[in-house]
Amino acid sequence: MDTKWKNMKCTVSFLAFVLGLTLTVLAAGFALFYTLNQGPRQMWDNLQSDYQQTHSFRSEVRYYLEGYLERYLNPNMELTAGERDRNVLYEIRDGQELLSSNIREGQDLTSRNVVGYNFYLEYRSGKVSLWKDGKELDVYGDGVFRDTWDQWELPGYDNLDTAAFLNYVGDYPVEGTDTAIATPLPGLAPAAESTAAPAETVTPESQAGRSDPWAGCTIRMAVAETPVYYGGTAAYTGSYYNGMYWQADSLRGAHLALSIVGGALLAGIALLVWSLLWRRWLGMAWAAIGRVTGRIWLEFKLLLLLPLLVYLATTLAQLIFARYLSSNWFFFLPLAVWVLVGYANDFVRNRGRLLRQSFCAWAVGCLRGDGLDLPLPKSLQRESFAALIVSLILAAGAALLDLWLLSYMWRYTSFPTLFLPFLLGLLGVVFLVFLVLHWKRQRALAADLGRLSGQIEAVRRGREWTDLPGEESGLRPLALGLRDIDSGLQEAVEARTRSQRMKVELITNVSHDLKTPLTSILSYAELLSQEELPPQARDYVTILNEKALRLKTMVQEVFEVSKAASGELAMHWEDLDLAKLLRQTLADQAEPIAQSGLTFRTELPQDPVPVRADGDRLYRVFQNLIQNALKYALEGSRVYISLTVREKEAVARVQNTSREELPQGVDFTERFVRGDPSRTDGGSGLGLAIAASFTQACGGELEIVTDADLFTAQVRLPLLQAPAAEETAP
Amino acid sequence: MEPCILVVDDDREIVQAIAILLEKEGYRVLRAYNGLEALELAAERSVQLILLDVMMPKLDGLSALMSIRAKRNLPVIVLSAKSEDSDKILGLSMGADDYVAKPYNPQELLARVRSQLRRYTLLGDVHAERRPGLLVNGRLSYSPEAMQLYVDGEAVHLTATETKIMDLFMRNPGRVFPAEEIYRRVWDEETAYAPENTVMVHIRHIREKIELNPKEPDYIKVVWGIGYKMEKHEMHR
Repeated sequence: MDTKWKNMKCTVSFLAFVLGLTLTVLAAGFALFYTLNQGPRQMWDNLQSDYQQTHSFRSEVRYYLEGYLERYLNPNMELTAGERDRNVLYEIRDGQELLSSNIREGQDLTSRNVVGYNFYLEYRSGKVSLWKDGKELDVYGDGVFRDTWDQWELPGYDNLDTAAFLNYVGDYPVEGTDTAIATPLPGLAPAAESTAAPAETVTPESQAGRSDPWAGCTIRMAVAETPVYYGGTAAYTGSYYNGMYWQADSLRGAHLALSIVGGALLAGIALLVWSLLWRRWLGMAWAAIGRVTGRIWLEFKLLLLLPLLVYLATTLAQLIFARYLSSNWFFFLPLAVWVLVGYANDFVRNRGRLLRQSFCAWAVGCLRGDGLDLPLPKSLQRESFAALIVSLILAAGAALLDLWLLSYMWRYTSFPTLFLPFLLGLLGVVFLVFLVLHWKRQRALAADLGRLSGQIEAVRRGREWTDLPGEESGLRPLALGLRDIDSGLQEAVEARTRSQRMKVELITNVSHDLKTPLTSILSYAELLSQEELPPQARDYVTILNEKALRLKTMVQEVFEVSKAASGELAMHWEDLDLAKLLRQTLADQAEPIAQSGLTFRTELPQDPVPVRADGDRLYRVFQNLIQNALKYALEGSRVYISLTVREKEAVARVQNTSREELPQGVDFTERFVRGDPSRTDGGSGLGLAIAASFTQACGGELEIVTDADLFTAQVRLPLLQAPAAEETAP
Repeated sequence: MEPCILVVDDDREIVQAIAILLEKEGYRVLRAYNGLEALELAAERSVQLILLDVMMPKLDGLSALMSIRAKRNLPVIVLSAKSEDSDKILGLSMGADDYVAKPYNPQELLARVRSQLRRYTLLGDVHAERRPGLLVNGRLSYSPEAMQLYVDGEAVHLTATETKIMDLFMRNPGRVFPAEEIYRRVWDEETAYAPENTVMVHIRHIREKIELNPKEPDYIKVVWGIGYKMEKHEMHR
């Protein structure tokens, strides 16, 4: 349940990150793509709310005006765009005479208040005036036309009169018989003028006044505030031209596109921020992906990286040299970003492992025999062999190159330079010889190392080893030293076992020697107690008897604890139930427990707690712990006995509140340690020491923890892992 | 004739102490201070029981025991300062009838001597073994038909529950019974949780009646962490 939730969080945060990144990249890429490919003017246009504020509107107006000006000169020509657009009202007059118009009854362009039309243009005597929403616009600025994008491209500038305006455009075919308007580009205009009228000496003004064909022309034009569609899909539809409508319509389209892109950008950034807020889960997801990518060979990754590099290089080249981006660029952009992020993640997560997880490493590993668990000398030999093979391949390549160089020089150069490839080849041969010699040495060294490792293994297992490296080998002193260490070690071990055995013998003998006089003491004390004695003498005998008995217990316990400490304890191993053992021990000790006035609280599991131990020793452990509690617990207090099962061990606890203050920092399992060093009544002080050493002999551990007056003895024993057999038994 | 007991130990004071103890009880005592002396005196017909120390000069107790066993079939109680289980088992397997660790409790020693003599003089193993249908284990014998337990040939009074427990043990000497099984078979009820306490109370009472030293029982033993069993006592004679 928990891991499921965690996995889901990981997946969701990862998906959010990928989606957010994709959306952001696509939106940003689209903005860049559009700006670069459509130009900043188009971008600026798209941000306008009114289509009449756009540059394309301005050029449309310019285009219409061009048509009207040409119509003025040539009444027979086909209808121009401006005349066919029903969203535009116009009139062309020569003086007061109306040459062409589409205004209807009651519509008056001079008063500039036709309903539904808010943009007005008036061309009169070479100048253009514009009104929008009743306000006159500043058309010319300082009067010079510089072809910057914020200027109106209309006639009437100092350097752009009507003639220049019509020719300047260049791409519009001027059908006219009048040579005056067939003047070439503005830069060539002065030359044309000089050839056109060489005989007449005229002032520019008079020339303008006379030769200007539009001197009497007045053009008025009104553009609808909201252009209406007049049918068809293309700009030209039958006799109508929907230029103004399409201006407004494309701006609406651009607005829609912009809001989609902007929305995508915002959504992408929001998703990214969200995934970063969950970066813990995101990190886990990336780590998981890193583990997967970490298993892919490096060569494969590099091969995959190639298209990405090509993509990045072409993009960069396009940007720098063409300032243009292909639409392919746009489509592959998210893919490229994903791959790039994936590589970055792989690099960060698997840094240092990248080289190892590669085909080359795998091939070398195969040659070396990794994973075959070869003995050291074998793997060393294979490794040096692998190195030799790689060197030989490289040498063969170098030889081929050298031969090619030789043949090339043979054909194209003179005699003395032929020495160069010869010399190179000679060096190569020498190098090869050295290589082979080195490899042979390496092989011998590997064999010696093998002998040495065999020797170490033999030492470890306490066996004989005679196969030492040869006299001339550098490893021989090492091997000899190891042999010395081995023999020294064996002597030390022997000496230790000898002294250990002596110690145990000594203790055994001493305890026997103590028991013999003790037997006499106890026997005669018994005889004495059967005699007629004065009362105080009877008391003395009782004391004598008691102390002798205590001495007997102590002798026995000293003997046991010494034997356990020296590891000489004979163990009778059995599979038993620790819970049952504890219940038996408590039942066994029921009488002293009942007499103690202490309350025993036990918490033992009903199910078997299987351990492998010596039951008698383990009984002594718990008997001693209970005795200890009985002896030192506060009167009327509670003693807690519990058994809990952990993953691989059983933990039995005996806890009691001490009657006396417990000294801190005392190891209670040390021999002869008691809570109060001055106490002499009862107990040998060996109870806990015996418990500790018997627990150890059973493969467990006894821990004593004191916290203020709380005394806790904790026995930990490894669990026996065999409950399955019980279940299958009939 | 008073039963004659041979006491063998290299420590004269111990021999003396035991001798006084036994003589007070009305036994005749022969004293020996090493294995060879013991062999000599053991040949005497009147000797009915031997108390034998293990570690002695000239001939150690266990070797002497083997020699004595070759000639005579009489109870031998081994006395030894070696108190470990392995020593005890060794002594018993060499033919001792009982094994008492030093320092011994004089009263317990007396009880053991009495028990051995009783079985040797009054009952005799031949007698015991010939009685049909009697289950015999060391000092104990049990008649399943009569549901009666005898200790050293003397009938012991047991309560109904104690008898049922002893019936189970005497029929299966050496077998280990978990407390649950004893509970089920004796009380004829499904197992109560943790019946160890109930079972142990009864075992304690039985021990008081059949054991020479109830604190160190020879017959009903706890097999720690597994259950309870009747220790099997091999017959030497």
